[in-house]
Amino acid sequence: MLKFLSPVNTPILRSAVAAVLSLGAVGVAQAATPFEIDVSTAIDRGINYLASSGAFNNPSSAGDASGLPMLVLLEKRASGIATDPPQGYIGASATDQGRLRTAAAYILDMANETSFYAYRDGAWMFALAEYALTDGPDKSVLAPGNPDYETIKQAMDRLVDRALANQRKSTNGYPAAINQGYWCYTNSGCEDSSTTQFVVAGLASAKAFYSSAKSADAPFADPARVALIDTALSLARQAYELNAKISSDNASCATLTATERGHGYNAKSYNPSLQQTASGVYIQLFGGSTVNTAMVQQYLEWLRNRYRWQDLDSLGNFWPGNSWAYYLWSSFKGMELIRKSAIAPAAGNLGPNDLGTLPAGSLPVCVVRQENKDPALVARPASFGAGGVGFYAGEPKGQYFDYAHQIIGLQCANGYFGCNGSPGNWESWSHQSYQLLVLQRSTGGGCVDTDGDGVCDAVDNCPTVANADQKDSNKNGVGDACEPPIAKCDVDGDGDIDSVDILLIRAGIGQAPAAGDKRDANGDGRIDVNDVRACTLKCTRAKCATS
Amino acid sequence: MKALLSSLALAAAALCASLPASAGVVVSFAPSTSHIGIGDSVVINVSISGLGAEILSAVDLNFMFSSTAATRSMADFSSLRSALNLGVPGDEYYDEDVNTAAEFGVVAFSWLDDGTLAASQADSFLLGSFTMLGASDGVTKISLGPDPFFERNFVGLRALSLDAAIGSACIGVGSGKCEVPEPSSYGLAGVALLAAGMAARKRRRSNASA
Repeated sequence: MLKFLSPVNTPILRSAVAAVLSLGAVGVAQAATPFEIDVSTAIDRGINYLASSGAFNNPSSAGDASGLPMLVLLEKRASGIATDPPQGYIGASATDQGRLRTAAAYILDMANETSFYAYRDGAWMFALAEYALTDGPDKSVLAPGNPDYETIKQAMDRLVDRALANQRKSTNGYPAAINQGYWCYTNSGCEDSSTTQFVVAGLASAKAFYSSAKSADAPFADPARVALIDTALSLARQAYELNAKISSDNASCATLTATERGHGYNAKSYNPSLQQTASGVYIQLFGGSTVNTAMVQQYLEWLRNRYRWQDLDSLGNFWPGNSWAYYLWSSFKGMELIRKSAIAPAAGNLGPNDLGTLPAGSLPVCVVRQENKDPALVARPASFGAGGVGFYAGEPKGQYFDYAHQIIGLQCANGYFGCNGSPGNWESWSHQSYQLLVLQRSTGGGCVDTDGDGVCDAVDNCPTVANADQKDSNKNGVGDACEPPIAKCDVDGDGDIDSVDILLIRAGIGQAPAAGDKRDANGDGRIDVNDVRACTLKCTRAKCATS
Repeated sequence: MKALLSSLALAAAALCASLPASAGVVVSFAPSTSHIGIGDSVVINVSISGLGAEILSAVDLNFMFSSTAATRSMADFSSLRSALNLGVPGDEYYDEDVNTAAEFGVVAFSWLDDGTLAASQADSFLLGSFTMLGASDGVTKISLGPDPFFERNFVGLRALSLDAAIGSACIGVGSGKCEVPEPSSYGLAGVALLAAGMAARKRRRSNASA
């Protein structure tokens, strides 16, 4: 199960704050690799470009794209280190908090002065949700008493309701399932996937907002809208399953296997493209699929067979240049969501780390397929300093390095990603933001929540059993909901677990357990030191004291 | 703050050790090959490295000695105990449950919870050492028994066994000669070291952001 940041993801927020505080004390560069340092530099330069260009102003110079730069600022990390959490509002510097307040104020001012527009509304929903869930101030602080402004809850309601109203479904003229689930630019009149991916991302984020127990000027919780969003996301997933297609625009890589499937800008009119197949992965995940769902596997196969980081070649429908950055973010986001899920690819199934591992000449042959870059064989972009080839040796191979190294090499002196042969773009604000979001390893404010308890898998102490309270009585890092039953370890049956029980289990190591044997704590049919340790973690008192 | 052993020292030790190259966690014997005269001694150190985000919380080990060409004069696993009790004697359980010429068995576990161990245990550390005396011409090999549950069981977080690559040691005594490792073995050892180093770096990062 997938969702965006929710209020009960407080461990994430605490981590973000702690990271910011600790980095202030120990310095950023201590644990960062040369590549991570350069990525961090590129992010700072890129954000400064956005700021100096007015993207965070009210009104925002980014206009309908303003949600994307705002998300960039919310997803900024304390450094380029992979494990650094996004700063959100609460972890941001005073300068960035000021920028975020004006960016949020712009949305609260404009939501009631606009009508549905898929790109803008989707981005506003995920930016506003992440802002609110990380304690961004509401109208009472941003524009007290100003009748032109709405509260966060009012603005979110407006954005969500008009998105739901404009989805293609049986009640607004689309009785056949294969024609349902999509959004067009400003209505339900077409089956465009580039617009659909934005609305899905925004609604998934809004779902977390409405699942929250938090409040600002008004409480966020809204179970009725959560249910409506779930229905909409499920319908979008269905669209990407029913309209999945074989083939591609590149004749040499048209149909590589019988099982691969992809999605184009409009599934009924276009062959599958890299960017829309990639976003189709996360649309299915947000709609309830997992990495092991058959259709997700088929999308991953299509992407694996045509993996590229340099450009879209002829795999971007009619806009291979313009859509490159757009592809990088959608594909990285989809794969990163899988990586952060509690559900790993099953044996024999494809996973995100399979991208880039298949040489172009291997079966199925696709001459434009690229392998992962070798960090030891690529050069450090000159704008980051001396170093040359090999400067990044030791950095892990994979999708992130492929994309991030390509991106930083295209950055201009002013921070814009538009130099050194950069592909084209649809619109400069989104072009800049997509690439920054990749560098930040952004999942669009989202996370994987397999058990649906509102806590992201990455910080859930029991990721496959719902336990919203995260109760961990013995503080062993395993939630009570995932602990083995106490009866398993209470060998002497005195109602607690202490060193007496532990030593009885230790004495039984190597013995065959009887049926229901309390010493076989993990139930694997043997008594071994793992059972000793499992029960030690269950002890009633610290260090298994007897009293 | 986690105390980190010198990675350079570990690297130097591991370069002389025999290391299967697979998992990030590596148990190495150093020196992996040695030669002593009858009446001479050599100390074989057993270390664990590459724990990364993992911990060592318990062990069930049986060291096997293939012959009495070299005999064990001393076994010292105080380092293992320190890793499990984080320097507070009594916060670990330790039992040498087998002690014959052919076998040396240890069962040990920590009374501390996973979080406490993760916060302070090193990424790599010495488990223990054997002082071996040359007794007669021949070769003695030291390794862990093959049983994954009762002879080579290294337990980490959540009471789950670690997927550890286990090395071995060979001691030639007098006219006894150990086989010289093929050059490819050094390549495998390098791969294991690289994996261990990357895991250690990952762990340091998670500490820095905790």
